[in-house]
Order: sequence, then structure tokens, then C-alpha cells
Amino acid sequence: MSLPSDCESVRDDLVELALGTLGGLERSVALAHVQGCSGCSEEVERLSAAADMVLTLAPAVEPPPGFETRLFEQMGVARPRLWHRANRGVRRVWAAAVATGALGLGLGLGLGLGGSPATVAKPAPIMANLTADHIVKGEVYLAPGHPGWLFMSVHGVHASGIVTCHVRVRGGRSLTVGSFSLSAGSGSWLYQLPVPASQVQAAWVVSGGGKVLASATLV
Amino acid sequence: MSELSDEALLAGMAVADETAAVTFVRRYQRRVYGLAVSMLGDPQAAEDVAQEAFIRVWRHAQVFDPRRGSAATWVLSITRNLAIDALRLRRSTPMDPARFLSLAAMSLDKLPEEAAETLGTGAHIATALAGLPLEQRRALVLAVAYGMTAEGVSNHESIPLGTAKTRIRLGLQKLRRALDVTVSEP
Repeated sequence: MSLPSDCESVRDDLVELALGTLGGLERSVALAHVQGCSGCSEEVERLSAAADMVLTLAPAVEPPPGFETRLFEQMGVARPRLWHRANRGVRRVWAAAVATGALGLGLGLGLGLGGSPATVAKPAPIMANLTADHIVKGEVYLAPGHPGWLFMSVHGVHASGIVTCHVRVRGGRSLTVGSFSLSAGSGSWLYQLPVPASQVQAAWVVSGGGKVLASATLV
Repeated sequence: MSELSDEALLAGMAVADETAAVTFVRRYQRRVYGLAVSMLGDPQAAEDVAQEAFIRVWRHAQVFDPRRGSAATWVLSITRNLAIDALRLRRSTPMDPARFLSLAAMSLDKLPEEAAETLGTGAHIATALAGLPLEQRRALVLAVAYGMTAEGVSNHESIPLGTAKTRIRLGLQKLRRALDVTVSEP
């Protein structure tokens, strides 16, 4: 099957467009086409992702002495004093992430959610481990409020690709909240709940083949 | 904290959690600095680039989109772009794709199996790259790791422009297929 003429004319430039090395008029022409062509746009995205993977082959090298100190000064970040108190840190980070998730991840993930951070009142997230056969496979954090927010993080499951998140609410009704992608058995996502968070009693993640990968009880 | 996923740490950084930022920096500083120094060959310039990369991650963590790639590729692509800017300011710096590959513990003539054993979790990427013909691999690394245009690759490798374009294009297309890169649905 031959490509449409516009696609054919820019096909050779897609690689350089993905690498960010195409310049001048060729770049303008290719960009104009890609913006209106989902097929070429996806191809550029795939090529760009493949190129980025090459960067992961760069060797790990110990930075010079004082690197951290100089960096944290520039970032305005103080070294944590309670570094060893990991669990407290975990809960604090996630509490913050869940409480302001609409501001933080909502933009980044392009969820297009209708809620605003201000509507997430009195954040007191509930945390529970996602488990499968009594083995921890991730965490679920639930921020009370209406709308409520659910942050799910999965790791170490034997699945990749699109999975779906489900919750059980009071009365036993089950809802599908959304889907996200696992890569090598790991992934995380932030959801705006369709029901008040106080109604959620359990959450679980299901593979594309319908298998429950892990679940958590939230009451 | 140290066992949190990269995505969780970026979520923390998006809401200005300093502990998450410290953990993220400690997790990635060797890789970020390693990429910068591989590309630039100058420890001071590499430190400047690595520091700026982390500052940008800290300031822009909220725009990270896990559907478009991993945290590792995100922070490394930020580093790459900054290093390319630095390279363009220092045009005299020699660019040798063998340096990048050899520093990555994968010499240009190594067999894919050996590269895979050397690189552990990055084995599938190393294997895919090592599976390319040598001339395509060189052209691709010059373009990816050094931000070189096709014209630059042409001059660097003393080959016609059309040949340079073909090598880069075939190299990246084969790599993409070998890695089976897909695009997430919005």
C-alpha cells in the first residue's frame, strides 16, 4: 500500500525530526505535516522513544566530590535530616502527591480532569499495599474528599501493557476507574474517583487478559 | 523512600517535596553525570550540564508524562539536549561515537551476546544497537548522543550527505523495530 503523497514527501525527514536534528525549511514542512497526520506523528514519537533508549546505555560515572552539595544549594533543597526514617518519608511524599495530585500529575499526565486541587480538602490519605498471594506488588493511596483521588503504583507483576484499575464501593458495587500502562511489570497512575473516596473499600488492578494482578483493601 | 518508584519520586518533586528530590538526585546522579561526561569529555562542563539537568527536572517534574517514556529516558534526554547545547558552543570538541559506545562497555565490534552480558538491564537495548551494521551504528550514535545533523555526520564520516541520511534513517528505524517501541494511547 502506498503512502499518501504528503506522508511520502516527508517520510525521509521523520527520523531527523525525531532526533531534533532537522533544520530549516525541511523542518518547517515536516512539522506542518506531522501536526496534521496522526500516523506520522506516532511514527516520530516511536522513533524519538527509540533514540532516547540509546541514551540509557551511557555509563554511570561517579560525579566529582561536592557535586551534591553544589546541586542542592542551587535547587534550594536541604538534605533531609531524617534520612533513615523511610516509612515516614514515604507517607509524607505520597500524602503531598495525592493531596495536590491534580496540580502535579494531572497536568503532566494530560488527564484532562475537571477537578481542581482546591477541591481536595483535608488530605488524609489512606495507604494500603497492593498484594498478590501475600506478596507486596505496589501501593494504593486514597485521598478523602469529593472528588477523591486514588494513586496506584504497581511493581513486580508479570504483565505489561494496558491494565485497568477497579474499585469496590459500599454496597458491593464494582467500578472501573481507568487504565494505565505497565512497563516490565511496573507503572503508576493518578485517578480522579467517580464516587466519594469514603465509599471506596478496595482497589485492584487487572491485566488486559482479565487476570487480577494485585489487590488492596482500603477499609 | 529509597524503594519508591521513579514516578513516585517525580510526583513528590512536582509538589516540591525535598526528600523526593534528594532521593531522585542520588538515584540518577551517576547516570546523568555519566552521560554528560561521555558526550562532552570534560568533567567541569559535564558537571554544569548534569546540575542544570537536575534543576530542570526539579522545576518541571509536573510535566513528566510516564506514558511517553520512563523517568530514566526523560531525565537523560534532558541531559542530552543540554549537552548538545554545550557541544555546539564548543565546536572544536572531537566527537567519537566509539567513545560513547566504549564507555557504555560496548565496543563497536562486540558481539550482541557479549554486550548483553555486560549491560544487564539495558541488555535488550545494547543488543538491538549492537545488531545494527557498524556504519549505521556510528551514524546513529553521532546523531543521538552528539546531536549531529545528517550534514555533520556526512562531514565527520567523510561520506555523501545522502548516505549519511540513509544510515541514520535505517539505523533508527531498525532500532525502533528491534525494541518494539509503541505509542501509548492518550
